[in-house]
Amino acid sequence: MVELSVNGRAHSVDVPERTPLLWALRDELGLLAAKYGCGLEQCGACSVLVDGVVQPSCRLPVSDVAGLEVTTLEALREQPDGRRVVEALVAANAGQCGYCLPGIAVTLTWLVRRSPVAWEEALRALDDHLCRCGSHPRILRVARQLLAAGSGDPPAEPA
Amino acid sequence: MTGPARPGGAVPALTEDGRLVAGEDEPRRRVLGSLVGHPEVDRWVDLAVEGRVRVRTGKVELGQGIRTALALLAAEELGVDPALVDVVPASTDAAPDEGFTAGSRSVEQSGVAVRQACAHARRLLVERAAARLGVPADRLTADDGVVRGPDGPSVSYWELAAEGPFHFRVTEPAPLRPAAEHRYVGRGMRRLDLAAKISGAPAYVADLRLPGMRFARVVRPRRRGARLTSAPPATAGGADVVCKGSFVAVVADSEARAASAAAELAATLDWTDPPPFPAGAADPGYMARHVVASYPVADGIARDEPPPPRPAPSAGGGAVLRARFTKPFLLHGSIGPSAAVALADDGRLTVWTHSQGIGFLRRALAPLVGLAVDRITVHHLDGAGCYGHNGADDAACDAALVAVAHPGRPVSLRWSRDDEHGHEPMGAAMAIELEAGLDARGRIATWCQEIRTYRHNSRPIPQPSGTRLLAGWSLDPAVERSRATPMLDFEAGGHRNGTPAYRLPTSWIVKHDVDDGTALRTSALRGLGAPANVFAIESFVEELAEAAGADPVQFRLDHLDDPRARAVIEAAVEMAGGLEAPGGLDAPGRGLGFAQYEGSMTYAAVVVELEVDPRTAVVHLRHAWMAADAGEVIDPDGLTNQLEGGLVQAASWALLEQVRLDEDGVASRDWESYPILRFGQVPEIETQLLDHPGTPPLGAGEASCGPTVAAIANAFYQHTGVRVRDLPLDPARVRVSLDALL
Repeated sequence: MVELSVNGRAHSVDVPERTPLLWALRDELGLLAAKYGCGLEQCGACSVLVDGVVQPSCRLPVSDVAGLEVTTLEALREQPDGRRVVEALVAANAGQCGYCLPGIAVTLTWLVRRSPVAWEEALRALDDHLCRCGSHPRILRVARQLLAAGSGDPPAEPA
Repeated sequence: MTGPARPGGAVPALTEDGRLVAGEDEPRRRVLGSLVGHPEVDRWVDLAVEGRVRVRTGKVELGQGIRTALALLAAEELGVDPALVDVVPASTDAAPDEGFTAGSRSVEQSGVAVRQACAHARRLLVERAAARLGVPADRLTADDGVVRGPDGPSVSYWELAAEGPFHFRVTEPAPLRPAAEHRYVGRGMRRLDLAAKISGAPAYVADLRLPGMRFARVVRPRRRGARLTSAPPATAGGADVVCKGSFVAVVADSEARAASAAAELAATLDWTDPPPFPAGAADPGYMARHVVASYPVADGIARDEPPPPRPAPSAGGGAVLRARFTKPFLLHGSIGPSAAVALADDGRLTVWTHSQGIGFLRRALAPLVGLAVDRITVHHLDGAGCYGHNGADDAACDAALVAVAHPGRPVSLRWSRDDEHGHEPMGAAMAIELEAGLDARGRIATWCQEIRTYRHNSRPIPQPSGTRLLAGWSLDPAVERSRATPMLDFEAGGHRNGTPAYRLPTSWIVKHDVDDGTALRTSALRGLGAPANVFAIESFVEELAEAAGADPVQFRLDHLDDPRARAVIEAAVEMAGGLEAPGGLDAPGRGLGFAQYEGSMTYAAVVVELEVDPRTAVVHLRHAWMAADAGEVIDPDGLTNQLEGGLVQAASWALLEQVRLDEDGVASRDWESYPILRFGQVPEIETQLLDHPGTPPLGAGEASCGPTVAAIANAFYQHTGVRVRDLPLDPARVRVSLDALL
């Protein structure tokens, strides 16, 4: 048994300690927003917040997050900043297949919560995510809007 | 000539990539789309649910937004709010069979059909209202779900629909709403499916959860084509092992358990040592040695006959240039590995898949699972974007085999990242040799083009013998591999966009079909042969322009008659403010690329501005300006999204992507060994749509790719003075190019 705290609730999950958090979320808790993309921490599709910090969940052993608070998009989308991020992406049709976007929404929410953040830092955080459809221009536009609104100080246009 | 004319005569049919084979009824298909073949209005649209419009399509959502485009068209023609339209996911039980969703043809085929079916439905509703209200039909209006008479009497669509099905077969087009009255078409809307996907609601086949579901993974040998030397254990790592010949999978009660059991079992299996995989298969010399047939290409069609004599390049009397361009093997690289759900129960099989061709998949599965086709139902559910024929169908077959071995409980099977990179069919490597001669005025006089290409289509269409589904080759007895066949149709496969749009007094184009008979597998990737051909042609045209002492834009315009082709080039160059970047000697480079996709569809011109970091040899894209003409614009936002997505993906191909092969197979097994473009590498993009209301709407998912690759190569040349003819322009190659300048 591993004790997890996910989205504000305590759970005991009966999985081996080395089980990646992603599978505990999907298999044991039915939380499907985090996606499997690579299992190698290379694409960001599985991103969640661990104690408020964005992290890929696909290789993170559940035993490593015992005692820490895990937050998935299911919870973030019910909170004002997470909802604002999701709505901004939806309003901009900022995707094509959409598979990478739940993970990106988690990162954008994390950035909005930390704003003001330098645009270069936001870009580095987004660089942990892969998008194959080429929706980057729209996602970047939304990110700029969100971070400008969050800080009251529009970030400089990227070079 | 301004692009080849479509040939006539042949029997109409869908080609393997979902295109229409041109035939005598092509004019009807242009106005009726897939209603030709599926003419019943009721098949496409019904108002059986009060307040809702249900639209059925055989085309599937691949992230291109087809469901939204169809809802827009249905809403416009019927006169209802788009929010009332439900586009039903395709299923072999209910949807019209529209072959593959591929080749940027969904709007042309399904969109036109839905539009016409809805126009007829509206007309039929008005006829019913006329009878009911006692008012002549021509005095009634139909809008907002209500048919109204001049003096106020009205009746809702759903009251009229309650009279029963239309039972009407479309043979002639109905008048469409004039563009001036459009309320939805041309304006765009929020994608119907994206809110659920972005917010993380279950939306993909791998998110499907059914009672009693089990989870499966496949266990594969290290070397492609190896077979098991001894039977695996019945269980491993807490999972059941499924073994059929050399097809091995594990099935467990959780995805975590399936993944760990697969890894555990893989470490214990013994495999044969098959012949080495052709690690040098992308080498142009290797390709030349494995040409199995050569076809002359004329009017966009490859002909199964000996090529004519090659013209002398110097006939024009001017300079003669030669060059060879290559494109490596590429991966589709879906962000979500292929997945499927299957349930075998009571002699029936149900499959949920993100395949592009559910009807073909159903027929291809039947012999492998030992069921009659009518005992199999295939439902489409969304997957991550595929960009062509990736592992989707193979994963569906894997899931079906596991489900049949463990009947009664649904099986969710997912490929690992290693499976996806290592076993999806690759985009074909190509090598294009060009030779052209100028005339005394500096115009192109002769053009010779040899296209060496692996095959671009091994989709699992049912074959007379054998199968194209991966797992079939591992069964015992193995089902023979049915190899891809060369595509000879209009603008198909490796000769897609292999015919320049430019005026060429003498042209000689030959396609060399490459097949080495090994375990190498290639299939359709966005644009098939077009990106490589456009890269080659548009690079070479600039080389010719330079030899002629001409401006590269003017040189193109001097060889183009088609006003729509000229318009996109002029628009893109004007958006960029010319092809000279400000900044003098240290200025970034700018380059242009142009093509009309398949010589008959969307026109696109792209100007790219880039810089090379001399220290890292990394190419930085700064700006891209794109002008596109896709005929009548149905959904400007969706069209822009497709065009810009194509631009970004093609930039990734051009700058970063090539599959590394070794003696075991694909050596690029993750995103570090096969990098793709990341957020920080994406240029600022401006896109202009040149709308042509009243002309047929054209698909655009593939139109921007070739022009983008060419524009990058041309910009690199302007910036560095080095003409790169082999893709990608990754730091290793750029370093070699820069060193050559010293």
